[in-house]
Amino acid sequence: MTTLWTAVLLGALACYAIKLAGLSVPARVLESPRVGRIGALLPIALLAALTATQTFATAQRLTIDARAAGLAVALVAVLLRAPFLVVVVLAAGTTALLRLL
Amino acid sequence: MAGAATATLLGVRNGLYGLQLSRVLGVRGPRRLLAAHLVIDESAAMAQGRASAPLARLGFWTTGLAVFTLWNLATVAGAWAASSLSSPQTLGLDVASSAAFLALLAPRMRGRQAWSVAVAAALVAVVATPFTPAGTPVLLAALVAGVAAVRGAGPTRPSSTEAPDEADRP
Repeated sequence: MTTLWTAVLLGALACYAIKLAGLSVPARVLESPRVGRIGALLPIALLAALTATQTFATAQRLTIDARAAGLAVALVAVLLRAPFLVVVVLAAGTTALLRLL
Repeated sequence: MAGAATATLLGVRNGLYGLQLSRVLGVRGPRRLLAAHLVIDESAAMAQGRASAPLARLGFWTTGLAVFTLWNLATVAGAWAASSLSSPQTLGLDVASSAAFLALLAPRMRGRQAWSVAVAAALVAVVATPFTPAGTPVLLAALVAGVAAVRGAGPTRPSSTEAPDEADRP
């Protein structure tokens, strides 16, 4: 039990330290043009990667399931410029409906 | 201990979010300590691409505090009444975050470089998933952005993420 709590606390501490470190990098470092380009491209890479893994991965396994259909509907909604909440609700609704069938 | 290592690996991307958020948030002292706790996928995503720095800050703080509050309330509720709640999968809620990230990605998809980075990042993350520990695929995808930024000195107009900072400066 003590080992478990030590691990939980260590993990929490490490995660918090990383976030604080990110926020604490001096602004001077962030102003170089190269870092600026990374700043513009990084969110694109992270959002695309998160979208892909949260749709096609279950732990470390790759699967194509009802989530893929939900994402496809979300993509259509996005292309039709649907509002944010509509996109999310349509995707969840599609996935739920497919699982019900 | 393996769990703690996984959590730390998953947390590394929050450090990258912190890098992007630090200028927009402009927090120091105790507020920085609080802000750091709220740096997550959701709050970072809602702060990025806002038209102005105040809007970005509003997005960060409201999302961060809302997720923190509701996450913990939901954890308590889940632990207390797990059997009486229907599973998130039944409601399709597991795809909600994917759809949300896609919707947040859409306005950034301008120009060929944005598309190639997005496609490459998604591919790298998916291909790496079976072979690497949790959290690593997304970090490898982040490397794609790094490589593209170093190589492509082309006319990458910084997205609107940069605009609020300039507007904010005296």
